[in-house]
Amino acid sequence: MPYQSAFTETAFTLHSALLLGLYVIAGAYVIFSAILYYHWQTYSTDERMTRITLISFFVTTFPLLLIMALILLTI
Amino acid sequence: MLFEKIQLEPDEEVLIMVRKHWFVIMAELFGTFVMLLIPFFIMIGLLIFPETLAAFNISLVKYTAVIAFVTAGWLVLTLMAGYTIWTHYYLDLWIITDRRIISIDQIRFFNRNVSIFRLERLQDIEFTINGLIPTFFNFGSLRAQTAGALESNFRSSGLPDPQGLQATIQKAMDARLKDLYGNVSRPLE
Repeated sequence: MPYQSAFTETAFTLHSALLLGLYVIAGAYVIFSAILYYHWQTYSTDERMTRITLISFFVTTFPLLLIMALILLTI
Repeated sequence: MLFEKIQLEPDEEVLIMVRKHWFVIMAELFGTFVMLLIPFFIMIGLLIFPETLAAFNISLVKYTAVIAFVTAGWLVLTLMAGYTIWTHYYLDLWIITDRRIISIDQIRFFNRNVSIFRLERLQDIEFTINGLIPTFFNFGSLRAQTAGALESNFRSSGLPDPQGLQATIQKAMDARLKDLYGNVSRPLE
């Protein structure tokens, strides 16, 4: 009688691992952005500095997330 | 914004707002900057010593997209850490008005300690500059002690020009006492 595994065989490819990584980082990014936005909007003393910080945060980080997503589409 | 929450008294004037010295934030952000460069150091290392990868039969060219993906992910996380440090630095401050001192200590996200004490309650104010770098860049810690049933202390480190800050507080305190009690230097307790 041939051996039968109790588990279904699944293929955890490199693509799946990277996709999971993207989901985790994107999730952390969304939560972090909300926290950052809340703190600066609530506790900052300078509206101009708040604007500069939030804009520079999104300008420096969002393109990186887009790059990650685009790379995943090409793999 | 913050002043909507603190609510200054009518005619209360903000004399000075103090954040930690720029050296403190630069020292903290330097660590983040080094972390930011780690993937590039690794890449340079692998390019200089290609035999390391050849031993494992791995081709860098084959995994270019994966390397770019991991590097981008690393950069996002490191930048998030950097913005956390910047946020904690910027939201942590001492506000000295002509009536009170407001000490805001941003410990972590959602962990914030705001202490307010009136200048007329101030008993002792002491500054410390300890070490070569703080002496050179003129920053140190400031400790304020208030009088009361329960003595309380406020302490903050890494403040720029602590001696000047002490003088500003002392001057504001003297003016406040004069306003309240005339020429009596200290209120009777």
